[in-house]
Amino acid sequence: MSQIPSDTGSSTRSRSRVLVSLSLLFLLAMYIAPLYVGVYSASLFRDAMLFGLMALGLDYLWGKTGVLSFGHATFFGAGAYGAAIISTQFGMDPSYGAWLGLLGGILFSCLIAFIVGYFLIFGGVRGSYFTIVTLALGVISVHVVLTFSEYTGGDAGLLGVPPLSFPTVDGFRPLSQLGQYWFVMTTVCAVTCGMWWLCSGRYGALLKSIEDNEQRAQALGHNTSLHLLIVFVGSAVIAALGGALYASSVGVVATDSVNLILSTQAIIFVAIGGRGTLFGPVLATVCVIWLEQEVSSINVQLWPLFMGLLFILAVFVFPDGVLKRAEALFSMIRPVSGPGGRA
Amino acid sequence: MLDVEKLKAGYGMLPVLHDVSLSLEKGETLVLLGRNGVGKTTLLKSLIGINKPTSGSIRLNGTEVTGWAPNRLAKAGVAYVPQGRGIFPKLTVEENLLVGLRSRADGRKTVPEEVLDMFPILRERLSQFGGTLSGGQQQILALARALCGDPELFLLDEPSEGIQPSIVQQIGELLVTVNRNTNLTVLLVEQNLELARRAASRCLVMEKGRISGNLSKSDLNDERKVFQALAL
Repeated sequence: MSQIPSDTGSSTRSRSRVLVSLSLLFLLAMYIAPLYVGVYSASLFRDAMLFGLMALGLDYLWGKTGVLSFGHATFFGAGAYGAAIISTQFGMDPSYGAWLGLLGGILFSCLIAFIVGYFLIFGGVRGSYFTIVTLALGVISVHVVLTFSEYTGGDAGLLGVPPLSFPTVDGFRPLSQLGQYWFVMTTVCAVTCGMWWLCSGRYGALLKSIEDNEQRAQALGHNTSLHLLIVFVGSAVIAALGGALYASSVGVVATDSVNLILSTQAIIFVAIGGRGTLFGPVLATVCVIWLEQEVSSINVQLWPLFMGLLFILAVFVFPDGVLKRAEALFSMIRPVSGPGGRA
Repeated sequence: MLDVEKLKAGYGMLPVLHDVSLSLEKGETLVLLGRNGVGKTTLLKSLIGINKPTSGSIRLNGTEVTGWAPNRLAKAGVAYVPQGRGIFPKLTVEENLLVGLRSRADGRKTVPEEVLDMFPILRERLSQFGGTLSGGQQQILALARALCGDPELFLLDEPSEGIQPSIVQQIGELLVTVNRNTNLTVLLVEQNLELARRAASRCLVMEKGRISGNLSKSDLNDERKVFQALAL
């Protein structure tokens, strides 16, 4: 009998070794991809990864605590507009203006999330009521952007957001297209891994217990409202980081980075990638956006149809997300037997 | 250690408790008997702060704690095991216990050995999901999780509900042991007379939102007196 557990342990270990090496290979491929696929495709992947950060932020909130925000584009947009306005409207030297914009965009989004989150969460608003209020937040933010058009550029958006600069031998130089790709890639990887590490231990268990039954977690001594507020603000900060980096790498911010379609897409990315898996939503975002490009290049009208189809698939075929499904398939190839094999 | 005076509570406009007063001495096990719907669970929920009392006062070791939030009461040493176990099915046994550590005063971050020693069945199943345990094991997990918070006052809501008799007996023994070893004060809501008799140091009877009678430990063994008190 004593043989079985040790066997299972070694097979789990070899399984995770395969998974880790596969992920590393994939990462390496992503890092060298722009050298082969060209700058245009690379910039596409870069933007997709930044939307992936928004999905990651939403997953931290929705996947880990079960609280669904239907206005996460607001935080992405607040980051993007914050960064764009600060770096273009105050006549600052772009070498540090871009960095100040990045910081300012994140802080701006953080502030909105704190104010909205404080009153909602400590006011006891939960479940679908919370979702509806955040939906309203998304609608309001579009109106705000259109109303204050002298700062936001209104429908036309803001142009000429400077890219981030780094010190080189001959002073501050803005990042090249390739440099931006690698910088974004590294940031997204670091944030995703960081969030995964954060949510893997006791803290993850706590969040799951709040999702399961907030009242019980509270009766065990946890200040659940405070935890939810921290998660809400944290998820807004991650989305804003994506938005601010998006502004500085694309150079343009328009209403499509705050509107309702983007909020809906964020939810779809998380649903397809697998709620609560953190890595899944980021991967799903990149894949879906790549698919969008391919499909739209055949016929622009096809994409909404595909999007709907994907969502139906997500609900019926892989309700736990593609990542979980892939994991299940992977286990079929390399089965893990016995009680030690926890998926 | 716990003094409840003229407590009124209810759900929305509907009053359930009418001027409930009771007090617990440190280290005793008070059993609250009563039929369905007389307000036993509402009383426990008011004591842990899930239901806000509409009037009256609750004092814990002399401190006024009426209207405190559950997390604050938990840190003050009150542990609550709800009816129907209330474990987290999606967390493992170990994670369930870890989540229970928050209300400890010493800030400990690992499951105390003495809790696992008390419940050897849990030690064998630490990595199993809570939802896969049997009803009785879930009840034991709920008790262990509450003990992980190192409480002073234990509020237990019908731990015998839907559990096979042998486990009910075990739970009864456990309560007596825990009560003796750690000088824990217990307020036990029960409908199972056997468990009440085993654990109680005295007993109150509730009826229609009021305390209607009390029974001493010896009264509990007298079937006539019990039936009379419960108006059966």
